[in-house]
Amino acid sequence: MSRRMRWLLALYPRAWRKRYGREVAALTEDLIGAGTATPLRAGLNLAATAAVEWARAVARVTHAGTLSLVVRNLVFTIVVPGLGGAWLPWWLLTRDGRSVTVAGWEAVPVIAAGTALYVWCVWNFATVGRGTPGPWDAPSRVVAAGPYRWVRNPIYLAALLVVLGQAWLFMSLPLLAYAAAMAIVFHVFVIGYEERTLGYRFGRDYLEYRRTVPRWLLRPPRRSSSA
Amino acid sequence: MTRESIRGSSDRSVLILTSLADSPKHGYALVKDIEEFAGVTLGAGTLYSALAKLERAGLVAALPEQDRRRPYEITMAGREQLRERLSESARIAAVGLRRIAGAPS
Repeated sequence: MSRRMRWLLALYPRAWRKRYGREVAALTEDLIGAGTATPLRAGLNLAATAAVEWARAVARVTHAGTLSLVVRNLVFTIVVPGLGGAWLPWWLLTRDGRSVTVAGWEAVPVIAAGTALYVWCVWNFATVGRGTPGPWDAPSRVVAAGPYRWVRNPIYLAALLVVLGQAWLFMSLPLLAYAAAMAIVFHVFVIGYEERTLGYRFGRDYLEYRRTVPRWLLRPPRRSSSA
Repeated sequence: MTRESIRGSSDRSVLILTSLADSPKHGYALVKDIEEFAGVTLGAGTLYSALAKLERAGLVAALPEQDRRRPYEITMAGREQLRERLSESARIAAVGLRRIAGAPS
């Protein structure tokens, strides 16, 4: 594929380019080769169509509720992990006018990993299940993709990673105790509420998922469950 | 209105569906076939933009690639849609032609 062609294809929305880019490039070469189109005309046509495809892509996003999905997940992220994973730890650290000192920079990758895991989970809930991590706005089907192929409750693990990372970063016993309390609350909530609710809601799909993927411990996914 | 502008406004979806109605075709074959029966040469971007729309609507389907060319076929829904569109056009054409014949020029 020529550089000029690559440059023209770069004008298209990514999804369109991935699906049709190669074909459109091949056809353009054929048409120019056969003398049906001049390079200039072909280039103009491709550029004009790119604009049409962008207009369609934007219309699709605003119509299919993707925008609202993004907003709902942002709101959830600000409210729940924002409160439990940022505001509350900060409050614990600075209560009674305590000053905060960083003790272990090595903890930063742990926090980053937890954050990345959380984002990955939300991405899967949104794209596969069209929902959010909030039980009131949950995915519409069992999400067994991405991190969910390894473990059933990766968001809780991500939350623990972030708070444990913070406890390490600030060498804070109260934060360590907070993380332990979180772990207990998560476990009770998962067993007492979530697993039952999901069982009622999704039936066989969920039971099958629960049979193949562990609750807390990571296990490499089997090939068959990767779809 | 000139002959050229009537051509320009003729619906690309109808042209593509008509071309696919007898057999699956890849991009180049589509352009050549449409050129032959309609006298319009579609640009590569124009063709694929229309194909993408038809594929999304389930009116055409992509077949497995054959040495870097991917043929497309018309679906049952596509046939149905094409039949409807063409019947409607034929009805309007009949009325128009009758009126033109009857009216003083």
